[in-house]
Amino acid sequence: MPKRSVLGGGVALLLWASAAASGVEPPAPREAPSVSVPVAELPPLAPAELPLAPPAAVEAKDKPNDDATAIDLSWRPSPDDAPDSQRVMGYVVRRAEAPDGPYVVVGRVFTKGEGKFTDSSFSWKSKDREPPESAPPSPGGQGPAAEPSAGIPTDPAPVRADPRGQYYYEVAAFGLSEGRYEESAPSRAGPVTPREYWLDRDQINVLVGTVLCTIVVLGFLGFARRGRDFYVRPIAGLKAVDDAIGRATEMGRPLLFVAGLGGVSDIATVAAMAILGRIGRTAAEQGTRILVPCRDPMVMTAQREVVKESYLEAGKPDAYVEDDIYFTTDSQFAYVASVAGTMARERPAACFYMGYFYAEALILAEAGAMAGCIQIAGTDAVMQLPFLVTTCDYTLMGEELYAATAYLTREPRLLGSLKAQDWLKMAVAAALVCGVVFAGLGQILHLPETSWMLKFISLFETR
Amino acid sequence: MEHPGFWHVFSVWVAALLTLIAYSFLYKDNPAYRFVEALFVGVSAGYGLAIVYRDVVIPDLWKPIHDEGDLLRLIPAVIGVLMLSRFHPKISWLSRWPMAFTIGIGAGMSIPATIQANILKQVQGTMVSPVVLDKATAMENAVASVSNVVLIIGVLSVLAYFFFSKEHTGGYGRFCKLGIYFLMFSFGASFGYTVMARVSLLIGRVTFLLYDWLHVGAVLLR
Repeated sequence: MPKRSVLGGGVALLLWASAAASGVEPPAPREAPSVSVPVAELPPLAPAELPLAPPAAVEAKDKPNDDATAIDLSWRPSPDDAPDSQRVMGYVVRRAEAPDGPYVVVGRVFTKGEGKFTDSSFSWKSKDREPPESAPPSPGGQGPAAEPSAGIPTDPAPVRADPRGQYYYEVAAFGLSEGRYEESAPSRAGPVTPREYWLDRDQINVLVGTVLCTIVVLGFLGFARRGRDFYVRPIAGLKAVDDAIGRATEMGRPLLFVAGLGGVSDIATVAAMAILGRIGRTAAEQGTRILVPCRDPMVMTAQREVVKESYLEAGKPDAYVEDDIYFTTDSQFAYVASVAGTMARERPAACFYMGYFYAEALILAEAGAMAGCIQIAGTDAVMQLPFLVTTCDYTLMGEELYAATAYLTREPRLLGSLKAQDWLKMAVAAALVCGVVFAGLGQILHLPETSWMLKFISLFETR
Repeated sequence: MEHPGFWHVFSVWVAALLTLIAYSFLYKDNPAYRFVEALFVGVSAGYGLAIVYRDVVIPDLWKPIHDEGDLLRLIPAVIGVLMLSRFHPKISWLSRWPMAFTIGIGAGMSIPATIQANILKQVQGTMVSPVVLDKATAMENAVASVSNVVLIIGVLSVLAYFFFSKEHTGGYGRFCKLGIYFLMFSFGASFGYTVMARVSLLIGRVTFLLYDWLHVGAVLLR
């Protein structure tokens, strides 16, 4: 088609469009009146000339199963948000307490396509809802590409809202056109009010699991109290504990016990204290000194109680030396330096590392090896187990640390608890086998998601 | 080039000498190491106290009570003060209350979290099909199937190893031994991974000594 005709047709069309918009009858074109131009052949308008189209079908809903501190938003993408187009970079979400505003930015989503955003800027605490004196700028982005590009305005951190209020939202597409920030007209939704739930239905399986575990443990504790004897298989590392204490007694050297870096409420620390009690009693009976450097003041207090009680049980309360259980520092490597120094100077015959450890595990074990100690470790810190396995004489791995207490003390309550754990492990193994068989059948028979076999697997899904 | 100030040079020298003295423990214990050890412990303990005062006592206790009249904060404050009762033998038993409180809260909070993270998630993650048929090619199906079978056998055998009610004998004992092999394989991988991280820490310290202290790093690299 000749270029002139195209231009002529385009100009005519524009003239007609502008006239129609102003309500004036367009003058009859004098040139090329009979030229008809297919729309597809019209020259495209530059993107900057058209504003970004807004997203559609914006929905704001209360986020279920929470404490009324979040609203879920969803929307259909802007028509300009095509996979092969770079025009739309994301969406900006704003919130207001009234339909007319003022709207404030609560977040930006740096993803294209179907949009989702969760506004979690709610708080029950009035203090949290006060605007900060100097709010640090925050892009507030969600999505994989949260790093804002140059040209995108940085939004102030959103002020938290009262969950009891009613809120309106607007979502707009944004992008950069020739380095200039542009934004579509907003699409609005609301009103919506966050709602609080007493029960998180997404975690009912956790509740059922907790109740089942509690029932099984209580049942076995009852059996144990009635005097039923439970068998526990020998654990290699534990048999060595008495040998190590005997060695220290023969050599006239002290024992060193390190309860890791965990806090007093960590399960590994609690298990470690039970083992310390057993070691302390044997040490008291044999008249062997026990050194316990501590990193946590609360753990130190608990350990003093445990060792003191051990000495009482052994009938030697006067032999208890409180200063042998001492605080050093809560700094990880300073603590290690102190313990390593103690090992070098006091030259303990046996070192026990029981509890939760971090990077210091290897340094401790190496210092113990240099001092010629027999070393027995026990931890549930998976990352540190390889180091303790390679450097210590015996290592209690994970669950063995928990079982150690029952094995050493033979106390009925602990044995009952251990037996309950074994039964629960059997139940887990049985569920695993069933799930694997069902998953296999689902794959071979192409079962739909709604089949009871695949639903069984989804029973274990957690948020 | 701007000349570094006296205090910068001084701090680099102090840090370098302390580093070397700390490494001297690798040879054997010595008075210099003891000095550095005591210095490290003392500085870190004092620093820790200052941090707790600045980041916990002032913003979480003093300001809410004094500035905002939040008297509920007195409850944890009193519970914390009970820890100090240990200094007086007659009332030292009171220090057991905050400990019981802390242990109870910790255990109560960790039970559902443990069931969720260590049981349900792990079980669901292991419920995979031993026969995979939905991949693009037969080879991919075979690889995925083998991977899943290894995962299933590994989990079950390790679970069997940590079963304490039966002695590891016979066929069951051999299955448990398989669990130990799986554990050792995973420990080996973890060991190698962490050793690499430790080596990078050593490199960082040696770099400090060579570049910041001795300024010979650039010469060595030429």
